[in-house]
Amino acid sequence: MSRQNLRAIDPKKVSGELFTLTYGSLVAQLLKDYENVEEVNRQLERIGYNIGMRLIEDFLARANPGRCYDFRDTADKIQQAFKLYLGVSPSIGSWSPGGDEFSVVLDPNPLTEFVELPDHLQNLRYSNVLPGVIRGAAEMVQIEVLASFIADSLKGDNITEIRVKFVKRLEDAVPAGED
Amino acid sequence: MAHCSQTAQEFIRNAFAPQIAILCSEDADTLSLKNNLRFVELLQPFSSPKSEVRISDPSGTLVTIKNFKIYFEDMNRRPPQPTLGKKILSEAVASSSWDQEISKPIVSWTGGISTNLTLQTSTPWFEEWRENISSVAVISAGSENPMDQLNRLSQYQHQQQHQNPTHFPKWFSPNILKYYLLLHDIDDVEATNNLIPLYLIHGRGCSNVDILLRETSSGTATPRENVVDLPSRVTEGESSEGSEPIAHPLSPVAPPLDENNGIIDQFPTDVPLLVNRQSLPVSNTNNSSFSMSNTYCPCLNPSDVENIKTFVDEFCLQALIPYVERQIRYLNDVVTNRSRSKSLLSATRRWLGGSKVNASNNANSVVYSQEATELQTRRLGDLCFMFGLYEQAYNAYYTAKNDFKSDQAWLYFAGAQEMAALSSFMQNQQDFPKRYFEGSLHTYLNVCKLEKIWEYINIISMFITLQFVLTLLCTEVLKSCQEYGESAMIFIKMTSEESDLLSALMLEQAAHCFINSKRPLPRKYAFHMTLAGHRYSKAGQKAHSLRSYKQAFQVYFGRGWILAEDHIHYTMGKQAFQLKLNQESLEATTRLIDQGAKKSSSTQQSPTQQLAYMREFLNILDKCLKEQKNTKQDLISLNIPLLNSQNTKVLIGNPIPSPKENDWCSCSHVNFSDEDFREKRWFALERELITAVRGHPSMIFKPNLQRLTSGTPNTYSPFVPVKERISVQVHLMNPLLVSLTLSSIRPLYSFFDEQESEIEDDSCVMYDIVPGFNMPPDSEQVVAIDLWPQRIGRIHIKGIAYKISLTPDVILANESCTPVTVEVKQDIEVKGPRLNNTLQERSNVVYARDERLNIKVLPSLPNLSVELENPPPVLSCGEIQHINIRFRNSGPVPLTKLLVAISDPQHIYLTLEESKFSEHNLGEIREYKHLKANKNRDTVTRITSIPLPNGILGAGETLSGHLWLHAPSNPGAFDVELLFYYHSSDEKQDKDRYRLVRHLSSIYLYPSINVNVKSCRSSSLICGERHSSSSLSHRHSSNLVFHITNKCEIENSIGKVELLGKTNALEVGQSCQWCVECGHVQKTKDEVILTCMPFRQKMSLPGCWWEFTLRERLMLPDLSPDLPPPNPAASYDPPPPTQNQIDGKSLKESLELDIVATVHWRGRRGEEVLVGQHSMYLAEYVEEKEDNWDVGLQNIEDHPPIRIIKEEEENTIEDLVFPPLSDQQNLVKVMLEYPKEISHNFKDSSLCRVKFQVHFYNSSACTLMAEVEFSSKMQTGGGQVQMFSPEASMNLLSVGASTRKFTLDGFQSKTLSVHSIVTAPGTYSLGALSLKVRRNAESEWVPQVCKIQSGVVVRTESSSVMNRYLSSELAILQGFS
Amino acid sequence: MAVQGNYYFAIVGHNDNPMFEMEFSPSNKEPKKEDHRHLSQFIAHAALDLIDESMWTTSNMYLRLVDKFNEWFVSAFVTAGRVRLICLHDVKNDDGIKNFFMEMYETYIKHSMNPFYEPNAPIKSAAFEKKVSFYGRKYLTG
Repeated sequence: MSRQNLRAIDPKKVSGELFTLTYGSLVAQLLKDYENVEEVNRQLERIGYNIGMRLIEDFLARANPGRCYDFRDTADKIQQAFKLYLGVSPSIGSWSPGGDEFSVVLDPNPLTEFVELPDHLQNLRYSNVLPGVIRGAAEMVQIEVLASFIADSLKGDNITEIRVKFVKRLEDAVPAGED
Repeated sequence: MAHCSQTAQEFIRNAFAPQIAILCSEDADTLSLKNNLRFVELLQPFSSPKSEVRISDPSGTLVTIKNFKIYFEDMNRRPPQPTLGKKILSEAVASSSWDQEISKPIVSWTGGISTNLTLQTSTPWFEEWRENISSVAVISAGSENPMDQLNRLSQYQHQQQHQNPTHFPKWFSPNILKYYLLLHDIDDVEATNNLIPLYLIHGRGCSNVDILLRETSSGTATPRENVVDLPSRVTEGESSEGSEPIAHPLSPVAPPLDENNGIIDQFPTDVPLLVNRQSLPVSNTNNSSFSMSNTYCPCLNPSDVENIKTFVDEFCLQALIPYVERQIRYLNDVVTNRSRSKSLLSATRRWLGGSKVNASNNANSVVYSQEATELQTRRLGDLCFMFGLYEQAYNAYYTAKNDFKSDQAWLYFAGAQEMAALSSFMQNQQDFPKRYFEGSLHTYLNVCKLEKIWEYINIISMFITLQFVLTLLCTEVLKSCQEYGESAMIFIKMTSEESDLLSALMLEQAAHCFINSKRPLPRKYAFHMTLAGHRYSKAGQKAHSLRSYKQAFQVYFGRGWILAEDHIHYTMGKQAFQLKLNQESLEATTRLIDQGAKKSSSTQQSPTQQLAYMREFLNILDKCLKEQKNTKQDLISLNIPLLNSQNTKVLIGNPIPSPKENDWCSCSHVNFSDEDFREKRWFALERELITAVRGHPSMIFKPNLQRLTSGTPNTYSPFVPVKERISVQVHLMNPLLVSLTLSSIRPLYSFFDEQESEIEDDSCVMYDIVPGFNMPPDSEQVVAIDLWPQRIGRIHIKGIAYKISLTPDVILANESCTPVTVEVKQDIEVKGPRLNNTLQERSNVVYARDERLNIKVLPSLPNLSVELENPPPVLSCGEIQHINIRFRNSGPVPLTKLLVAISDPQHIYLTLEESKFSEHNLGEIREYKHLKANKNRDTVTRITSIPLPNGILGAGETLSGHLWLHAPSNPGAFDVELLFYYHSSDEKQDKDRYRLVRHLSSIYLYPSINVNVKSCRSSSLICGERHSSSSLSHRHSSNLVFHITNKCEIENSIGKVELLGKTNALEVGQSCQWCVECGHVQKTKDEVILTCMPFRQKMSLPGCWWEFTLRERLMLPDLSPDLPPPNPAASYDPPPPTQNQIDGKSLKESLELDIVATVHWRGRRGEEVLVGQHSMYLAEYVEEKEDNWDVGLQNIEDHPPIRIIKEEEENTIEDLVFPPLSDQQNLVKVMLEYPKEISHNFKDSSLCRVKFQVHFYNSSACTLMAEVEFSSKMQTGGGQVQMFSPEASMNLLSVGASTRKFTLDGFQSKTLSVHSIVTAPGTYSLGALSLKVRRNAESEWVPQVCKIQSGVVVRTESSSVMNRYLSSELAILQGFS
Repeated sequence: MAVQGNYYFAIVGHNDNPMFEMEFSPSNKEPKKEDHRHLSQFIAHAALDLIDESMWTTSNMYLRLVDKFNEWFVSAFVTAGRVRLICLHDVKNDDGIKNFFMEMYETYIKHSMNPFYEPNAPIKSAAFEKKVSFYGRKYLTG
């Protein structure tokens, strides 16, 4: 028997797998190069940030979702963007009383297929690129947010949840430089 | 393998060379013994005739026999007993050296040596089963009567042959070739005469007689050189003949064969020759054989050798061959007409059946008579085979085989079958019937099985040997035709339970077959080598076992088959150890316990195994160390337990924590256990200190590390003053599943002086030795080792040395004996973080330097010790506590510049002198040093400089001060973080060499009271100031409503709280409330006004309460270890503000309420009386300010999501500048002054004049245009409060213009007087007054809240006469006064 | 339903290194004694020679019985990437072993997609172990 009829290869899936593997090898390589989980988390976030800054224009152009009047709009846009670029639509929820904080719950997380964190990498935020993207994208539209994982199914949590918090509106439109 | 040095053909040919029995008379032997050789031995080297040998087969055609050999053997020789055979075998195996092939790589591995071993196994059998074809009787001519001697001999031979045919020596056939040899010395005159009769008698008898002339020369006469060059010539002879299985002791030949032969001629011979051999060991080298040549044949010269050769020649050509031909022909006839004689023979056999030897029901033990045709056939085969007529041999064997088979004489059958196969092979047919081999092997095996049951030891062993020989033969054959697989199989078949040794040999051969086959099978090889090694060790062949295991290990090495490797190492370790190869055994066992690879591997050792391994290792290591005791060399390093180098922590210049004596306890210095997040806070404090000392923020700040971990920047060596403590904490982990005991752990270091030259002297560093501890399986442990460098220089800590042993309780198995303890070392290598900054760093793996273990030792520095007088473990929220603090310079050098950084100066401060507070402190506060209070709450610095008496604190001097704590109002943890800074007084030491002392005490806060304050504006003015100061300065006021609850929890209750000024105390859970009105004065900058509310009951307050009250108002920059980002605003100065902005600002300010409200309370915890205060800063008017932790969270009502874009973008700017209009309604305060009651005599004048005065006060700084309007109309919602019903009173008519416009400058007050006239008594009110203001003509009006009540009672004086006319004449007077 | 017997399963990498090992013995019987465990390794390793020979003789990944030592049979399965799955067993259970191998192959492929797994390195994964022992119980020891 050969590989083919072991695992039926669905043409649509291939790119997804390829993407997942690519991201995986990126993370693995970062770990090789930095040998320090915290640093890798930082790097991933940074990469994401830079992606986000580029992505936002494209997103606004394609989806042209109109302007955000309040933070809820922002949340919806983020949801759209996930659908557009990762083919998953996360659920938005658990708003803070102050209305300045919400959660993006990914189910499934397209990045973490096949991934199993070894014991010595329990502190790794494997998908940390995603919060980075959110932050970068938001910053390009003059919204400063904090985005970070508060739950990750890779670490045994039953969901994967990114928390996004509104910090402030960037009044002076100084173009955000890349970190 | 095991390439036999001979080809299979040679091997077989040699194995089946015809054997001649030699029978010597005593004197003949004695004669030949002149050469120290028995006659046989004399002949043996010359076993092949020089000249080519021809033989005619039955058909008469002549066939030449290629390198024909015969084999002389003493007739009286007996084959060794099986037992003896075994013994000899093992000896032989043991004695055979093997080191030469160890180094060789596997594939090219050819074991010349194992060939030898193989041959050895075979030899006994050859001897047993040779049948003497002929016998040569030798007599000495020297004897007086040769004739009868000869007779005796022949008789002896005859009886030997015929009386007991089953015993050795075996004879080929009843009538064998007899050959007589007369041996005589050269100077033996009458020898010749003796010959004649001898010839006559025996001439026709059987054969001719050879005369050996000049057989021996007198030893003395022999010239030396002859003796010497004899062996060399013999050598040539040998080599020309190719390899020679039977060699003369003299003959120097290639090592393998030589050794082999040595053993061969050891085997047959009985004790004497064994002795003989032991007396002179077989040597492998020529020169030693010279030495032998001296001992042997001293009197034998070349011509004699020639003679011997010729004799052999003649014997072969003239006697042996003809005889053999005759025999062949005869047998051939017999066989050809067997058909006729068959029946007869079978009858014979039946008849013979009765007289069967070892009669039994055993099918194998069919015994044929000598004359049986089957045997004849077989014999024919043998003859032909021996003399190289393989084709005939094959035919003969073939028929024989079938016969035997039909007779079920399995043993014979097997033999015949085997020989058939062999002969067909010798004809070089490629397709020789292998199956024959299998067949006969099979048979042999079965036979053995059966025999085993009957335990005929001899026979068994005989059969076993039979198998082996067969095996060897056929495997040789197979190998020769590249059938390695088969031969391996056969070898493996041959392994048996009986003899470990033989099995071992077989297995080893099998292994070699695998490795040598066309496609080598290294892994099979390894496996069988291992098995062989196993059997060797069972057979007690340690050396070979070790060798085989080594061979095998080469294949397994580094693959990760842990258990297999362990097995190998374990055995190797044991064997090597018993062989006294300590180094090797140590290596093996070290590998055994080395956990490096094992942890990651797919299987793990079991505890029991590990225990055994560990014990073994320790024992061996112990032995090794004991042996090299005399040679002083450094410890061997061991990685058990695992030392995690990166986790190594270093504390520098940290005094040993002293036990708290009486009430004073020294401050908590730096500890290994400190969390890293705290570390950041400390660094931040340190940075602020440095900034304060230098006066400017230092761009590159690198903290003065006292605790170095993998997390700290360790690129530069830390420094420690000489004679101060360095404490190194290493992190150990026991990877094993058995518990270990570590003891007497000490540091390994090297010390360098200033000139960087290493100093061996131990006196330059003192250190503690850690007594030790147990490490349970899979446990972790940290050990702290203290060092005190005694002189200036540099110390590099390299590792630790410790004694390790198994924990006694584990090895209870072999109790009594104390556990073996060995001292080993382990290095510590630390490396900094991976660098990835530059391209070069990124493109290869670079780590930062890590100098944490490489410590500079400096001259002594001052050493400050700080002590606190029993710091409280718990406080209550808001409690104010006082702690005495004591500084002591315990170093030899005076210190200057003592600073302290306090993480939370709002709640902690430190002074040297007790600060008292009295009324006139009000003044002091105004010019209070570092609390400059101005409108924008300025930031307080965390740094406090501690003044030293005349600038320094000398060695040993002390200084005491006070530490004030004001517990924050949220219960829970309250961390007091103090960082003291100081540096040495002498300037030559650079400024960076400052030192720090930390103190951290975490205090738990119990809840006490909870205060919440409500502040509200009042729009009215107070004229209190009026009479106090001549200038009419107005004050507006606001009300503070305090709501206080006693939140004490019952258990750790501070009980009831007395509030200052409240007579009644608050029980737990009670709450009270009271309102305070506070007036505002127009403050100038830089002053704080502190008002003490007048209270009935005085309460003794701690002198510093106001400190905390003031601090409440200050803002703290947040504590960050790295520099605050330079803010761009700093550089550029903003454009001059527009009027709007100024106005906006002033408007905002007018709304501010810059007040700290403080509530003092008193309570008791247990016995002690607590005094506390809750202070609250009220920046502006707030509906409700909750100083309340528990309400904090729940009652936040949900806001809508944050607006990102405001609805009306445009006026955001406005919003920025001005407060919302709703907040601007109290800009102008209004107050109304009027007589409450007027009595007027309406008779005199019917007009009564009432005068109102309206005071306006602009509470903001910006100029306002005001417009006030009086209206008699009561408009509701005008903010007018009704004190009475409008019907009840009639409105006062205000006379004149009812609208006034005027301007109010900042903080200006104006008074507007309104006159009006009433004509009748009654109650009047000055109607509604509405006021609106605006900043300028453009801005829109803002209505102001003005709540004024005016009720005037006018009553008549005396007469109540009413004059109705007067009402018409109204005089109007009005205007501003 | 598999026959009661003892099994030893190993995944062997490109340079003959064991990547994963597990023993299965019937639930009712007690597992093999410690001191025999290394024998399984020896046998498995020795079998590699024959596996490497016979893998070229067939297009199948499942090689069936390749070797035998004493009471131990050795069955093998060679993946497309020449990772060798070896199973020692003292009872005949061809189908069971075949199915087991197939499942293992699946599981292995999945696992090798994990970015943190170095190809050819020992497999240290609780999830993987769970799977193996599950299928072991399902197809082998039953």
